Amino acid sequence: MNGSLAFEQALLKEGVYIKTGPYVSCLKSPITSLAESLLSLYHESQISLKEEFVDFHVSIEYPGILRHYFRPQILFKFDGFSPFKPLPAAQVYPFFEWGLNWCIATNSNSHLILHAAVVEKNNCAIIFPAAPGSGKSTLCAGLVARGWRLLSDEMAMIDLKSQALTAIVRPISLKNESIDVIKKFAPNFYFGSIVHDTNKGTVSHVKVPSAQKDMNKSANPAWMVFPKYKKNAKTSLKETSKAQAFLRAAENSFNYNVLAEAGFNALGDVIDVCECYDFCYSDLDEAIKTFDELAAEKKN
Amino acid sequence: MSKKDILIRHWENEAVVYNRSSGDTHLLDIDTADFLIYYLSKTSEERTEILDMDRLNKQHQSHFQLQVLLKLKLIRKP
Repeated sequence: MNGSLAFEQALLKEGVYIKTGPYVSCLKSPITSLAESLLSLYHESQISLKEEFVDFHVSIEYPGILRHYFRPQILFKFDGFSPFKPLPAAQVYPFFEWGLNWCIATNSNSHLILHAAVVEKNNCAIIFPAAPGSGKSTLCAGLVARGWRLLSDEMAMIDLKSQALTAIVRPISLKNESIDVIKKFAPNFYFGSIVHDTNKGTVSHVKVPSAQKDMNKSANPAWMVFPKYKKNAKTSLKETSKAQAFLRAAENSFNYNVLAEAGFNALGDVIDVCECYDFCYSDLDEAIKTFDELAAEKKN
Repeated sequence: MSKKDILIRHWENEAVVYNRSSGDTHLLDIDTADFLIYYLSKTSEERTEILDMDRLNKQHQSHFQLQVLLKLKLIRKP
């Protein structure tokens, strides 16, 4: 039995184990294309068929026999519960990633979680908190293509005690125009299948390059940067006030309100040690140069 | 409300205030934040005096700070 067939069988029956940062998810699904996507987009070290302690038991399945064959749909389940409405079966892989985002965001209160990308160089990390459509993932993918280490393209996980950023490395999610931008910018990146007509438009995931070592190493926050992609805009990095940055980061948090005082203190400690900026860009090369210079200044 | 009911972090001329009772977070200028701390350190009688003085002198800077803090429910009239 070859590896991929064994993986498909395990996915169908006892489940496969996916390690992302501190979390292990056990995933079951009868959908074979999901097995292909997982094997091609995750690294070998992140996937296992051996039983482990599981944080999230998830499955992606057909809602009923009819929807298996007629306009097939799929449901994401967490502990047997469906937090979302069914989606077309063609969206199975993005649905898995979105479902996993939800599991982490709603069940991980040992960390303050911001909707943000995080990349690191010389143990200094940039947190990019941003709303969807701001160009956060494009910028993050560009930086990773030029040697920055990815901690996450979706969530900044701030340890409540140490304020260290926990790595939760998963494929980078790109949408719409940014797919072609990164394909040109980083032709060596491996892209998963392109899925059209999702709630977020056209979506594709990028495998984190094998060259990236230290998949699970945490990093210290050094900068908090609010990115904004604007067509034809000149690259600009402007300092923003720490108090304003605090509020904007809190607005981009999944669990700031749940954590209450602990969230306030953790975010305050992060803001204390970060330089805070607004960043506007349209040219990815210039954007990366800006952050490379920032990292070089810090190193010196 | 007392000083124990709020958490404050300040950077340069701004402060972020967390209200433990409501769970709300507010951005204040540093003078208003200082006035909040001053007000919350007072007894009920002293707070009444501050509010009475405020009624008499609505041009004073503290009047505007009081209005902001009342609106944000960081202080209440005794």
